[in-house]
Amino acid sequence: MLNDLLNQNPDRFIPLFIFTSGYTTPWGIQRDAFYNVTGIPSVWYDGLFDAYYEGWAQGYPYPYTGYMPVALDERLLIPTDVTIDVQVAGAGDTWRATATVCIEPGGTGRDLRVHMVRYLDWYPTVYNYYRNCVMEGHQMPDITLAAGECAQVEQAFVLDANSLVNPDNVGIAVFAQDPLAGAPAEVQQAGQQRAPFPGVFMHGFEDGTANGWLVMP
Amino acid sequence: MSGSAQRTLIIMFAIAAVAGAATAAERNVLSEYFNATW
Repeated sequence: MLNDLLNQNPDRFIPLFIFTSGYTTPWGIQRDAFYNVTGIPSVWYDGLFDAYYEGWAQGYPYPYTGYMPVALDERLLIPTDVTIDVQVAGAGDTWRATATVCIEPGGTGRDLRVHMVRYLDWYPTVYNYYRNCVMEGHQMPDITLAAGECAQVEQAFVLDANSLVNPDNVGIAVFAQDPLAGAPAEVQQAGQQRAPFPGVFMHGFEDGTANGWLVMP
Repeated sequence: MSGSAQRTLIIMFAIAAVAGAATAAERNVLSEYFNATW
C-alpha cells in the first residue's frame, strides 16, 4: 500500500518513519511522546488519529479491515487554506531549507507550529517498505498568520554519513500543525522537496545527472 | 474548513527497528500492510 501510494501520488502523501529503537532521533522521541505511542506500529494521519489499532499487534483481532485506505481518501477530500512551499539549497554536507507558509486570502488566521524534517528514503535498507526514515527533525517556534499572510521558516541541516552516500534519497518535509500540547492536533498542510537541490552537487553534477553535459570519451 | 488548497497528507509511522523491539509477528504485519494494494 505505502509504496503504491507514493509511486502513484508523490505530491499527496509524505510518510515519515519514526523508529522507536535502533534509528531514533531526539525529534522522533518527542513525537512519540506527543502521540502517546505505547505500541507499534502506530500510524497517524495528519496528526488526527491513529489509523492502525495498536492492539492488533498484541494479539487482538484487527477491527478496521479496509479502514486505512478509506480514511486516507476521506482525509484527502478536505481542502485547506494553508499552503507550504519548500525550497532547499546548499553546498557540501550543509543544506538550508526555507519553507514559505501562507494562509490563503479568505482563509482563517491561526497559530501554527511548523516542523522541518530531513529524511532518508529507502533506509534502513533491510526491507523495501522502509520509506522516508526520519534522520533529523526540528520543531520551529510557533507562527501567527492572518488570512492572506505568509511567513518564512528556515532551518539548516547537516547530512549524516548515511545520507551523504545516498544524497539522491534525501528529502526535506515540512508540516504545519495546530500548536497543541499533544495529539490529536490537526496538521493543516504539508510540503516537501526531494533531491536534487540547487547548489548541492551529486555525482559531480548539480542536478544529479549528466544531462546538458558533454561526456568526453 | 475554508480554503481551496489541495492537501498533502502527512502519515506518521512509529515503528521499531528490525533488530530492535519488533516481534516477528509485527514485522509480518508491517510487510503485508505496506505492500498491499491500495
